[in-house]
Amino acid sequence: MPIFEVKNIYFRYDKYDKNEIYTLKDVSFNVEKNDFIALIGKSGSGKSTLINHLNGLKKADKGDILYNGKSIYAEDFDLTGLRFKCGIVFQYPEYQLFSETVIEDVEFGALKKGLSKKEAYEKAFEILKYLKIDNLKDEIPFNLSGGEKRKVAFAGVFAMEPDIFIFDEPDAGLDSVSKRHFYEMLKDLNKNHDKTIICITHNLDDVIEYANKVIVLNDGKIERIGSPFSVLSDKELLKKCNLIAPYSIDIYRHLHEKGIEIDTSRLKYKDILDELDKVLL
Amino acid sequence: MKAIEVKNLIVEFDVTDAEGIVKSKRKILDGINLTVDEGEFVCVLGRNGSGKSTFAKCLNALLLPSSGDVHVYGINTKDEDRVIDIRQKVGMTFQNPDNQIVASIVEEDVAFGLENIGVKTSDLRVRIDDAMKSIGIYDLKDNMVSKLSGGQKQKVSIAGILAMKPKIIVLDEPTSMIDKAGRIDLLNTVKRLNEEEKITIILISHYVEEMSYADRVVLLDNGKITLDDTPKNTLLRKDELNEAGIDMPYISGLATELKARGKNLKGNEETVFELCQYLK
Repeated sequence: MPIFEVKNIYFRYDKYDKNEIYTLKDVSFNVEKNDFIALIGKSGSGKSTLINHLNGLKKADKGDILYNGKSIYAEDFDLTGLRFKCGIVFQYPEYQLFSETVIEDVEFGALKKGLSKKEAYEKAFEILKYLKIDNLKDEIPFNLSGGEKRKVAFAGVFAMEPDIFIFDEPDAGLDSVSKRHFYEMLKDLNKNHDKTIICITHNLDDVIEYANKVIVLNDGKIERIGSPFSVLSDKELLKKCNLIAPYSIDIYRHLHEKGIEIDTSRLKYKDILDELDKVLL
Repeated sequence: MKAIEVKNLIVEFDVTDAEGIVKSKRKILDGINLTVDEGEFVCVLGRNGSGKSTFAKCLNALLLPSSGDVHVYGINTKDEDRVIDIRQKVGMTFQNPDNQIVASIVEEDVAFGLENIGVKTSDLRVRIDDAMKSIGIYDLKDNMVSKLSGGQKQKVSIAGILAMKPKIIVLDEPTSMIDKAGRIDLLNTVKRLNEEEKITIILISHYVEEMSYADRVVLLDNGKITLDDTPKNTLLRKDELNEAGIDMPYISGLATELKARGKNLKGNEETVFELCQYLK
């Protein structure tokens, strides 16, 4: 059974608007256990609105969302329980920081889960170390740089130990090394710790590198669901959604035109490097 | 002509505990020396927390040096009487455009800064129209700002700056909220302002790809300048970039590694075409 079944949901912000302009229109998809889903689409396509539905922060006007087979809109559904299982890191991390020190901010989720103060502190410190920001533990979150705040917000969600991680543009504001480190960590959580990942991103090179499934949203509708290669190599689709192909696809296509074929399931950076090693002088 | 001259700039912040008692000092900028000529396009690269945004805020006197000096067209930013002069010369956009958009309609937002300095209504119209046209958002002038995308909002905030006719524009990570297509579009627009209107550009970024729009790259790490070179040369200095927490751009990264494997490449190729020109 899928973890989430999103069934034909519609959502509009202005409930009184006669024109009935919907931000989400007839959106349906499934999230399977251990998926690493990249949710892509240009700015304003409805990506953030959509993920806020998954833990009930926004309620669909029509349609239904099933979590482990049970409607999250049912009266007896444990929405609080779902929010512990399904952690969201928002687009602007400064919106979700509130404590006086970094470590307190990270402890908060663990305390809410019922850990003792000492356990929560140890958990929080361990997470800060995992994210390589333990040096910031006594800083005031609001004094940190944009990218550092973002990492503290991740740590806060990690401390809740959810099964499903949802990220809204986690890479915006992170430098390239932090970003790579962050995605490698997601890969580790996904592969070795059975976590399900849903990630909104603009960076299609990272989609090729990490995701197993891509959902393309365009103007509030699902435009396509498929494997990274099938989606990102579709020129018409990318053009329609105002997206630019990742470099790996450009290289694939360039070589294809010269009569050199490479395995389309092997388009990660290391694969491309090996392929080029074979064909270049 | 020197647009910006920074001498031995040091900026320290107090590190306080929860009660507000100063525990120690954190040096954000540690002895920066930099001269930028009029009309240059400089990309300031650096990892998170390297001091990029702090440096940007020193350029228009939003922050004053703890020690050292910053001169803008010869005016010291410490000269309190001339702060307005400096801010008119140096326009700045912040990381998140929502932080600097004040009006609800696009053209009203673009006009805000000019209204505040008392520009005549007739001149106002011309200057805001020119600014909006030059950045390509004239079609959006009657739109609600809240309905715009991140990239469009970024352009609105730049148009607001442009209307003030600054000599220097400082862009602090202008593209972090924008998709790749929007990013290329925005940077091309900035490049055009630099080339056609001779506006000095300081682009703060951690996207290495963005440095190719600039004439000059300055790498900031731990509050110090560790590299100052052309973009093409910078791509050949992989170890120094890595040392400062910056990865190579995708294509140049491949080129560098393939060169190390003995391929016929320079290591600073930036396009697929350049990378794949010598096939077996």
